[in-house]
Amino acid sequence: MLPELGQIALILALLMSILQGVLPLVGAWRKSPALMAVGRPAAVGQFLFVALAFGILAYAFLTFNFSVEYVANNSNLALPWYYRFAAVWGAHEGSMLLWMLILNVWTLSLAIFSPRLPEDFGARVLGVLGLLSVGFLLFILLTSNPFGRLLPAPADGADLNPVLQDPGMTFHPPVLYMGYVGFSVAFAFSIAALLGGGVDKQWVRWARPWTNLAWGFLTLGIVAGSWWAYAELGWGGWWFWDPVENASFMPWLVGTALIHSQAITEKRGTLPAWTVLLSIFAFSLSLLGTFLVRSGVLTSVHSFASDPRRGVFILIYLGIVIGSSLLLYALRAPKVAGGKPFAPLSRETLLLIVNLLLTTSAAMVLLGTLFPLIGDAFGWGRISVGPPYFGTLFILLMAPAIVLMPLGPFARWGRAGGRLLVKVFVQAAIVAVLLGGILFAAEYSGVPPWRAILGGLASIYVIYGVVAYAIRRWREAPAGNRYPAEMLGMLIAHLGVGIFLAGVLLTTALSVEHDVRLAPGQTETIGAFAFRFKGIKHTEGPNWKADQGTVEVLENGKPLTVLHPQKRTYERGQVQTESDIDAGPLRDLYVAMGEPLDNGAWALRIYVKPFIRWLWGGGVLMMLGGFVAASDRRFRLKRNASGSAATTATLDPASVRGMNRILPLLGFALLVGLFGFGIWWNTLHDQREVPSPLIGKPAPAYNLPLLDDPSTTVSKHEMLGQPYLINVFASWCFACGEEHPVLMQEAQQLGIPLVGYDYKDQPSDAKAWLDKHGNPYSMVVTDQSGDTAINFGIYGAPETFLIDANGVIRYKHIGPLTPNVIKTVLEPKIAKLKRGER
Amino acid sequence: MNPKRKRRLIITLLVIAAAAVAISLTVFALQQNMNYLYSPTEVDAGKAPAHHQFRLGGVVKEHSVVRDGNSLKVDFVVTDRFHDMPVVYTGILPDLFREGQSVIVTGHMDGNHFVGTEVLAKHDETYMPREVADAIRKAQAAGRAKASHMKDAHGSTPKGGS
Repeated sequence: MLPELGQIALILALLMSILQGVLPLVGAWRKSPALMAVGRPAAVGQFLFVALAFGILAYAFLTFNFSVEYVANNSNLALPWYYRFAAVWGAHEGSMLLWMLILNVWTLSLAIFSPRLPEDFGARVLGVLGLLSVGFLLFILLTSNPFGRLLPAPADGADLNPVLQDPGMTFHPPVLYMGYVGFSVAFAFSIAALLGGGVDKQWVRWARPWTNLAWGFLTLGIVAGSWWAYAELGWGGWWFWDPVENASFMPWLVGTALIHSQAITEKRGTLPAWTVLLSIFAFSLSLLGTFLVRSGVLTSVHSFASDPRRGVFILIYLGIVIGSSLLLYALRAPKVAGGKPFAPLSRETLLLIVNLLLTTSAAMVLLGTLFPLIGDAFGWGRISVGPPYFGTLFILLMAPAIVLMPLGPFARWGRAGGRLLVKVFVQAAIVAVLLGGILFAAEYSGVPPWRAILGGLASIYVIYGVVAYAIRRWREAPAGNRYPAEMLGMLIAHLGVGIFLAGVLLTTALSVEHDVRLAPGQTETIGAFAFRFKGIKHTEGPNWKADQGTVEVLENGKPLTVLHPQKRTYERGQVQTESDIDAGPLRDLYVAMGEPLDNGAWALRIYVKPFIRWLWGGGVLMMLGGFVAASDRRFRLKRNASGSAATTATLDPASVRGMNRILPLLGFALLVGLFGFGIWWNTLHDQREVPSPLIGKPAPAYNLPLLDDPSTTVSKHEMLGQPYLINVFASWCFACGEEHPVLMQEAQQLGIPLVGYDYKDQPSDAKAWLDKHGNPYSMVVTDQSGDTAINFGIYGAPETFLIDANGVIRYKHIGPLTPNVIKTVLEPKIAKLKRGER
Repeated sequence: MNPKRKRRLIITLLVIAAAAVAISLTVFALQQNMNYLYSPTEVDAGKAPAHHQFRLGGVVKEHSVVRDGNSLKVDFVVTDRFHDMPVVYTGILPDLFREGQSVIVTGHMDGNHFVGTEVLAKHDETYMPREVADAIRKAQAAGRAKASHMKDAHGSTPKGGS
């Protein structure tokens, strides 16, 4: 009963969101205070209903309610409660619900903390957010309902993906979504400004703290994701330029550009159209990220469950949201007025250059991420773009931005002093070279790799700039007003960039990574560190068993620590590597288990990673900077605030010319076309329902020996007269082991014979395997050579064929059968065949 | 030209120059880092580059994995069920690497075998990466065409049960 309440809550939330989306906008248009006033209560109501739905789903997880399909698919009795809670967002449906909840949290905060927004403007903002909710709630209700039932309820559920069974999982997705979705606020402000037309540019000031907050969350989310990949996934890397990572990185790049351009627009009234466009882009890329992750258009190592139908829905949603906002931009952009002029050398120019570099980087990442899709579209073959593409271009694009970074604060608005900038640059460069040289000479014999030099120098260069500016403010500004929160936030974030740079480049250049084979007692030495492998022992957790290695670490011959990496096997057979790390400010010692080799030896990954903590430390500082800046008092809403600079700006229709206005829309149309193609292509090439040319055709003739009695054979002819299933399996097949318990449980209830097809297997192996795991089959035939399999179009195990009484193949399932597939697909088809229908 | 126009011209030229540099760099970087995916059949047909890096997709052939006794070197065979390609790889194989499961190996040809630098494997949820499934389906189609061609040539057409 409760899960149905959850669904009803979502439907009520949808109604609320429609109220919130439509009435305030109409009210702002018709100047009706009554209608505009609907926004806030509707937002509160919507939040309550979505939170209720979320709570009900969480409760279903905590109480093992396996009659809810989503719960059954993502948790089981052995899963500890904290992972059952995190499992709420462990797969598609729940993570969309989390997305929705977070959108509501932002909307609610806006409704509560911005009561002083002008009535019509506030109404428009809430209206836009309401419309976003409408689309997303529809998406959840129509394609991703988390409350779908599975009746009768199974006794136990499946498992949460073991990769997600990590403390990071409880933390990373919500924070990342806070960032992603947070850009919706800046978006809503921009759209409201475009809709309102005549609104003064104070809206940028109101939008800034929200953007900074969202950016801070996104930064933290990405940092947490990177740390998680490093600590949990056992690959030892911290960034892979994987499509899913890129999906979060693109909004970050554009978001970074946005917080800088908002500063220009707010302080000087300049470039409002650009700021509006960036707000649209930042949120669009967030949506795009969701689309990329959720639609399965791109294959990724993360590869969460995906479904092309959802892809179509998200694409339509994306099309409406982004298309209409860009259209609005094309129509209304010039009405958001011009601003103060600035000289070629000014803070505006520097920020603009950095803006262009950041957006170009985002475009570059987008191109590389989507390139496989473009390759498909143009028939260039199956292409992927290697990480060096991203790495090289990114460094090239960001290098000028880093050079400009310390200069920015010193450059004055309007017109900057060239000599001062040159002086700062020269000083910073000299300090970097001197200090860097001394540090390297002290710590490093010989010439360090160029990346290390670059990283060290760039880091010192940037940090010097921050410190120099802080000192200058201390000297020149009146006490009490030396470091307003906004500036302090900027300084902290820039400091973070400096530390991040050192982390990235030093760890890339100086890491030593040894993948080695070690027998118990053997030692691997990296620099001053000796890693002695002392063997493994078995250990157990709530829902896993593990081989746990013991690795003793000596530094210069003295015992330093003992590391215990694990190779876990979860209840459902999934294997997961748990690395063990001795973390330190200057270096991490990282050990992960590879695989068992003969004679008790193991393949081990042993890494020494200098300065790797710095890159996350830098990221955390950046986040902190975003939060501190957001807290600036200037952003608190007082209508009489000193916004004269912004409000007196004149209208400059030349700022955005005709073609420039339509260009974003055209580019977007192109993208939509590409994605539409991607979905169509995927549906056409969906591997889960291979359009076997044999479906609807007679099964190929076969004559195969029985496993138990090779002298007797079974032919297709003998099987005519009744429908039956052929299940392709093999003792060597891993996925068959997952499928087997399902067959053991369900075979009897199918009501038709289940023929085992032992594929490319030794009969003795197959017999032993069936003895061990049980035999669900009515009979087992063997195809040792695999010749008959070619006629059947079998390319792996497990596969299952449904053959009717006339010997015609009616259905083929590739991959392990699950209770769900049997219930929803196979049984209805069997019932039909039994009734004599096709 | 008035100064305003002149400035606009200079800015335009600068933007065009920057765009040109950016585009050529991007194209260059893309060319250097594009990895095509081929099935053993395609490699056999000479479609894969002889020296450049590419990705080999298929299924790890059953009973083909041989570990070296003293190092992390491992030999295995990637197959699309029509052609086999021996692969040499030194390093740690991913958790999901199994015989009979699909795999994508990045590397290059060395004589008649493939030297892998990175191995990606997975079996969960999607069972087989789309690209691999595609490659195998293609190989299958090619194999079937060839088989029927041979049958025609021999004049005997024992069509599979139809």
